Amino acid sequence: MLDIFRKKGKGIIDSSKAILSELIPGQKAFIQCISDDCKGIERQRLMDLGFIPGSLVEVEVRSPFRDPTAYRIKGGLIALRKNQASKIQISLVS
Amino acid sequence: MSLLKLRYAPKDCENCPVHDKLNLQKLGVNAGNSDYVIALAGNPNTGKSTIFNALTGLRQHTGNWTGKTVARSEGSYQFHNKKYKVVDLPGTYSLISSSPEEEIARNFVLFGKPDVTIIVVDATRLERNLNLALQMLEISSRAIICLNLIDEAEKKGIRIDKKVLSRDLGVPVVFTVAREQTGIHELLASIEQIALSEEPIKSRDLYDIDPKIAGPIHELNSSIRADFPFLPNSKWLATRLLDNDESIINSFKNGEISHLYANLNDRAEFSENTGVHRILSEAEVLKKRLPEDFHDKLVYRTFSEAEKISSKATLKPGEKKRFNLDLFLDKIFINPLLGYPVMLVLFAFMFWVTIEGANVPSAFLFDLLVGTIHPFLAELGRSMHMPWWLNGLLFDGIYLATAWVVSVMLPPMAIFFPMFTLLEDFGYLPRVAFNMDNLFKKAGAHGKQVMTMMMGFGCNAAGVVATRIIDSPRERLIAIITNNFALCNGRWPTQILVATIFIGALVPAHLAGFVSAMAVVGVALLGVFLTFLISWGLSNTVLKGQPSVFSLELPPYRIPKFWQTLYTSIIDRTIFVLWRAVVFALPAGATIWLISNIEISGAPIAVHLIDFLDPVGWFLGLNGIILVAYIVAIPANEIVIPTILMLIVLMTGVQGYGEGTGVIFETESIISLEAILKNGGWTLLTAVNLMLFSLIHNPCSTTIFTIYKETKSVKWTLVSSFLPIVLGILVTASIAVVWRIMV
Repeated sequence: MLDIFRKKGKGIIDSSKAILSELIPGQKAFIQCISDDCKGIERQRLMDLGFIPGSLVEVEVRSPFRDPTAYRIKGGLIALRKNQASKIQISLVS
Repeated sequence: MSLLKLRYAPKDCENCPVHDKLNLQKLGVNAGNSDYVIALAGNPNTGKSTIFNALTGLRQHTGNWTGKTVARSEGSYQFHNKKYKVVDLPGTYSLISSSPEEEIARNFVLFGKPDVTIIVVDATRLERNLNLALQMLEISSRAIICLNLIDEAEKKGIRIDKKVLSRDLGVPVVFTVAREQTGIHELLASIEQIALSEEPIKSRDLYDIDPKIAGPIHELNSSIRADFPFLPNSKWLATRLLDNDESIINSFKNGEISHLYANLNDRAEFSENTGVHRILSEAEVLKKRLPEDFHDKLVYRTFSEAEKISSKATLKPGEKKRFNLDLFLDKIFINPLLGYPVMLVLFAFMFWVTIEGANVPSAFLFDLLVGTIHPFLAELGRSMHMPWWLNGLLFDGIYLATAWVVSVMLPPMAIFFPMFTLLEDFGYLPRVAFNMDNLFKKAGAHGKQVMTMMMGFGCNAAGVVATRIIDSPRERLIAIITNNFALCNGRWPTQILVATIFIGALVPAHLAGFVSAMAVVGVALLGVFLTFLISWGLSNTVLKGQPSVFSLELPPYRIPKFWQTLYTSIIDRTIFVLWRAVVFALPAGATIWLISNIEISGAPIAVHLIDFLDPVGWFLGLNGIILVAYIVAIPANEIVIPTILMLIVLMTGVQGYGEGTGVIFETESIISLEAILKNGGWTLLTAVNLMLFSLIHNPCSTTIFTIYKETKSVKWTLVSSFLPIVLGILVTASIAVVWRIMV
């Protein structure tokens, strides 16, 4: 899956595709890729937390100000701020 | 391979455990006379510290918040007459993102070569945790997977096949419920088995998904093996070199990598070997053949293997619909309407219990230490014909100040810290961070800062230590510098006392209690406001920078073990903080006594100091006495009020109070206290500014010392000390000016 995506998008966020920060509670999605402008330790940390291509993700709870949001991913509950979640591209599971 | 076997002939091995004594020492661990060294690794929040406690019997605190063990803790135990040293490594998610914690954990397992590495895995989140486990196994095969929280997993309908998991990972798997001591014996036996075994360290091969990355790794690995046949984990090293891992490249350059060898002869051979350059340049060439996203592919490779192994070993992967006590609790604690009120009520309750609950034990301790033991000691000194000055210095100065600090500080802390710890173990505190993050984000800070502030309300030194949970250096520094604005336990008594006498008196008697309580709450809230303001200011000036990565794991809720929590939080928080405070109270007591008793040109030093500082005090709407008290009480805020009283009596010569020059005291009643303070010329302005100054001044010396230990930087220690005092001077001086114009 990683390869297919890489060939097409080269990790540049395609505006026609969904991004994680737009996922709403109740929806599920697969992670597609992390944007190329998310580099270094930030990218690594996201991947360590399980945000890697192919992972199933859903919104579990949003903080009262709607940012950050806690995502259920690989059995853990991980909170990300909106600006980070917007760097992760997803494909919705219908 | 046959050569390798020879090196580890049984005869050699008996005298030479795997662990590298010299290198361990360099890594800060004294293997001492222990026979084996055991490393404890794992993701944050997997119960690693509980395993550590179960093994060593030590009561290391085990919070239900991510990233508790940042520094290493060590302990030891005996099993079948062999001594084992256990080193608890920081909890990490991975070993390759070069954060300091990850480097500590990785270097320890790589260069320290522990005889056994225990990898603690949370059974409820097997796949996620296997990511780290696989990375560890790539470094050393002398490992055990300790599958903890197996009871929670069963409750969630997750059943794991031990045999399959053990077969696929190539190391023993032990099931444990560390909280209940279940499986610990089996773990001990497994550790022994591996410790005694002569198997050399090997590297577990990861299955390669992609030939484009497998090829170069394989090529470099072959070259490394050709030049350095005795290097274990050569494939892992090849991968790290290709991934541009600075610290591994450096360890090749400076020869540190030779420590991976089993014995010294081989190391000598290594330094003579000129292959290092060739290998490094070969790595450079091979890198060009690698795909751009090599690093991502490596991470992906580990994760996909983790997924494969976990799905094979999990019999019923979460079939039961998670009832979701967790989700239910989160709906309450993170509710837009309920979340904040619940939080406020919980914390208000916690502070109320602390203040109310501390009264009786404080009075008891005070009676005992000051009322009974102090006169006894003074009498003892006299009966031993001690010179008056020695008696005074020892008992009226040093002993009394220390007794004071203990009786004022110990009860509230022994109540506050266990309550805080219960909330922490329950898993509530990360939710607070989650709720509050938005505000902290606007101030350029990290949501976890709120947890360190909460801790600061107990004790700022403990709050500063707690900032270790913030993994980005910039945000952590902000949290350290601003922690002092969390009004600590040591300052509450001053606030409450002054508010009761001066603010409560402004309103009718039946409202006095409420109004003075609100005044104290107001000061505490001002502290919170200043925390945000200063955080914002710092992150827009000296600590400018992109907010670093924010990630916060919300752990599952867990019912805390009440008695254990009580015990551990008293042992490692209360006693720790109290001990530091006592160490600093000793010289403060001596100083207070000395400046009131040593006379220079007819008057005690204290009087000269007070006269000298009086104009400054007036300018700040305070007075010289308050400033002198604050200076001598830098070690401990608890003794500010008693020192002020003692100094007023010294200055004004009012009769009937205290027990002699330089003897700090407290009055029996609020009324006589009021009389003393009014006698000292105190007005409402003095009271208001004293309350503000008590919030906004330098941290106590215990905290300053802790800041230095945590930041290892003189510069930031100075900033943390002087920023609040300058701010305090500005605030009190401007209020004094306005007040004098208006009133």
